[in-house]
Amino acid sequence: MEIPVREVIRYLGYRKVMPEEEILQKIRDASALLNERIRPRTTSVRLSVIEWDESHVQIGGMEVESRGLTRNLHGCREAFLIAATLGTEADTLVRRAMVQSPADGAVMQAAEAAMIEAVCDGFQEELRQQVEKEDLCLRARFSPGYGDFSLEHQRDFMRLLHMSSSIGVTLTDSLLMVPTKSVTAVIGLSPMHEETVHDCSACMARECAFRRES
Amino acid sequence: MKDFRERLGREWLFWDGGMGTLLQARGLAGGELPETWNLRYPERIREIHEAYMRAGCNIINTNTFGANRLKYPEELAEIVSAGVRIAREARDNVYQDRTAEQDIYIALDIGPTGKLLSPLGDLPFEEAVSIFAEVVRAGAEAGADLVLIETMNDSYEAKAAVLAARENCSLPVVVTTVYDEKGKLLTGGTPESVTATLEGLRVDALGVNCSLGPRQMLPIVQRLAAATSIPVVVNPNAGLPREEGGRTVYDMDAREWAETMTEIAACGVQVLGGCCGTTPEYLSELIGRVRAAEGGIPFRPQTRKDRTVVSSFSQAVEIGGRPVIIGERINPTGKKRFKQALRERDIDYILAEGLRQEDAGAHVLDVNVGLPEIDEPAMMEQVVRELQSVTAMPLQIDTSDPAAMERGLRYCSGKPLLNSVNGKQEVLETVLPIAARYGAVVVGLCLDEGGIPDTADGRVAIARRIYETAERYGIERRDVVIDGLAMTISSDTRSAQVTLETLRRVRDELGGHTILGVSNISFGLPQRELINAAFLTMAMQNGLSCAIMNPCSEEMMRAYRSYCALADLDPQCREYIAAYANAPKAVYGQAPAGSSAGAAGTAGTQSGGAASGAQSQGAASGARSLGECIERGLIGPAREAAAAGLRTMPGLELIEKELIPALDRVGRGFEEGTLFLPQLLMSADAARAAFDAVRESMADQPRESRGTVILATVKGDIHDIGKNIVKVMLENYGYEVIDLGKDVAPEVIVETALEKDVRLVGLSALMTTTVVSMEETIRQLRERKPDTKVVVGGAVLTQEYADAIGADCYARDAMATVRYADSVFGY
Repeated sequence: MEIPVREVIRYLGYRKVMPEEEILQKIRDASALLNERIRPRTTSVRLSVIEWDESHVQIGGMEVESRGLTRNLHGCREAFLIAATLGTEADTLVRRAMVQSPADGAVMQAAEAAMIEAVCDGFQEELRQQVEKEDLCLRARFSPGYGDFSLEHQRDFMRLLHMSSSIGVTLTDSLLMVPTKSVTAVIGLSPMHEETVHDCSACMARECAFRRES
Repeated sequence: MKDFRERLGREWLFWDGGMGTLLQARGLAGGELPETWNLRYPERIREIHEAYMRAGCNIINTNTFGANRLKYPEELAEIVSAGVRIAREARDNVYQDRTAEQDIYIALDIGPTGKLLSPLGDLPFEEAVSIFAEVVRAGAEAGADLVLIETMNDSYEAKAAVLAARENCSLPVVVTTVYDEKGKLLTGGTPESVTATLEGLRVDALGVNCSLGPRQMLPIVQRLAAATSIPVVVNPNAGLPREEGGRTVYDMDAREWAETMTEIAACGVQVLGGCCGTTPEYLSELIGRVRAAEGGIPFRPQTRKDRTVVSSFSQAVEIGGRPVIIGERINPTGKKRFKQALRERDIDYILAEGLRQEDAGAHVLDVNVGLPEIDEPAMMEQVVRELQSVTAMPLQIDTSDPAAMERGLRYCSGKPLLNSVNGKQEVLETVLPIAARYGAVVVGLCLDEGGIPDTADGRVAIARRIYETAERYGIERRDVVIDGLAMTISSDTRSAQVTLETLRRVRDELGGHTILGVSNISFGLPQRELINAAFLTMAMQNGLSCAIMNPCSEEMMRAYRSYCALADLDPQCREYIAAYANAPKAVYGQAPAGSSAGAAGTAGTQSGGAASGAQSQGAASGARSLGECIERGLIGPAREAAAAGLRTMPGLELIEKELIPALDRVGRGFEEGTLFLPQLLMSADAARAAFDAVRESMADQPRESRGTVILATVKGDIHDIGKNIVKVMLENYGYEVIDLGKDVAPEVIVETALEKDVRLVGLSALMTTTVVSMEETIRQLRERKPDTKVVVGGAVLTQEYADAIGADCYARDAMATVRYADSVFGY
């Protein structure tokens, strides 16, 4: 799997500056190691969507109060819940690199962040091809924690996707996923042919250091 | 009824099949917890049990798979005992109408908690044990005949469950785990590593269930049967799943499934059954085929495998083939810097010492953390746990303190070596029961009340006695490795010959495996590496199975790799070539820097990189100043420059005049946006190497510190990368950091601040859900230690957020934390 160097650099905090060769080499090494050691796992379920009002939407057995998500799903009759993870070894690799050299640890962490996003993109593309035949297309991914979509709903993802047994993702009491390099998201199936861009505009964390400039 | 243990492994036994699909057919709604039906609709559960019994199954699972206090905080005991009671009633019914042909056993079914154990997740090991223990006690009391621990995808959690069963009942215990099509557990375990762990824990049978259909399971079953000496259980799904109209269906019908299962039955398996999607019809088809008078499958008991295996959660290492290298560097003996790390609880230093040995070629890590002034059992536990979060190498628990031994073995995720017992009766009686309880390969030292015999005869006699006594405690011969004892030739030149003869005779006369602390042979001599390397070769030639040695010593690794190539233990000389094809020629008469066995801390200290790379870096450094090395992030050269600087300047002056100003220049670049995080950290790395050189030179003097800072990732949060980066920076600026780790309760932070009178606490939280704990920590600190300042940081925090929760400072990055610390401590 190609881990996009540009994204790794972005996660490392470089803004429009190309790192020197030494850092680029560290990124290549980390990416090679990840590709050798990590087997990403994904899972999904397709559920019906009912839009109750402008801030309440129901996806299968999950009822959500969120303006952001409701807007995102507006006009969709169905949605995928997806989950993806790099697994426990990804956490081990960061900790390990960190102990040996903090710089390597930071690079590994950024490379994994880019990798899990790439995994989600690849998985979303698979799903897109699946629904293309039905003349449907996919909306941008929307995850618990984005805007007003509460992290509480990670519990619903756990239940509806059987995440601990299917891909080994568990939830702490404080609603964090472990392994930490894991993502859950809702992806609406839209009957309209529309341009979808996955960007940061839906998120309200405007101060976020990693915010993409649109 | 015949005892279950009398039948297991001696004749075919058949487990029942799936429960979920049958419950759904009887009206269980999606999202409804199946175990609640034990109380609501016991007759429906009973009906399913009876159908399986009539199909010919001998082992029936109670409907308790998901029953634990995390899911049922209120009525757990009722649900579990009802589960057992229902199964027993079903059995009474089929016995009464004589539809069962054989004895039927009720298995208390225990599934995973759905949580990941710490340190990776947030469920403490003992908490997991206690969760399982509660289920075991209720089930055993209600009259279950055995315990089934199933669908486990983490062998550490499986271990917690087995300990809970062993410590709370005397029932037989069977464990089945879930493999993917590559033969791995979700947490990385393999059939071989899981087998070593579970056999060590003395389970009655082990196997595989769920996740795959029988066809995909076949290669995994073959590996299990090849690895284990105990009965194998195979409970697959009804093929592979797919979604159909919102329901999960499986791709094999009963006949096809049963047909494939007969192939599995012929692979060295003793117990067969089903999992998701299978029904009484599937089992009936299977049992009919296996038991058929004509064309049935003859039962074969498991064969004994006489192999010595140690394992971690995911790696199995066999002792007895190619000699095993056990890295000896996690050990304070003779190492000032390591002792200092133990006293300061500098776990990262210890972990780095372990990882360096792994990179250098060790197969197993020895863990010795004994120091008179520290709490050794607690330290052993912490180091074992933390090592397991960074490496998958099996461990050797090395201590003479029985309490530390027990802690090390209990929290080890796998089957470790235990170093050691000896021929003294008292030691044997203390240590062997501990080894038997947790499963370990025991190192037996050839000495006893009479001291160390100076003849091989005497040592072999002690070895014999250790084997015999171990067997009395249920520890098989294959789980004992004999230490023939390397004694220095500087005091008795015959001693190497005695040791070598002992190795040979343990191998030839006792059929045993051996281990040596190799470098002891040269104690008191100059150029010890020369003797050590030659002795290592001789010992391996005389049958040595495990060498406790320094794998970072190139001299030793040359001897090891050369021996393996010459002894036909390195196919196509692959490893030899990989190690030396591109290496510069060895220069003899000039020992590699810092590689003598006694030298502290300096051997191979370049992190991770190839030795050749570091050498060229070193060569290029020439006359570079320490400051320049730090700014450019050159680790090796920074260390050398520091060492050179120490010849003309006292350590403290070097720090103040060169180190800190260089760090400051880098820090300013970072703050101004001309330098970025990786460069900041590379400089920090180089500075750390320089610091280490300085600290080594003054290890006896009390350290000068700018002040003490507590760092912690708050309760509920397990992200610690940011906190670790802050720690590195603070330490480089001369602060003493008390790193409390991640997921730290407010009380612990407050107590530590009070106890050590700490003026600054740094808190990290990554998620909105855990900022709550941050707020609570600040509240408690204000209440009990109002003079302590609090600096906070983490992805979701902002200045406004920090103000709202009452922090003194919001630090947007590591440098900002350093600046704030400087302002608090007046620098």
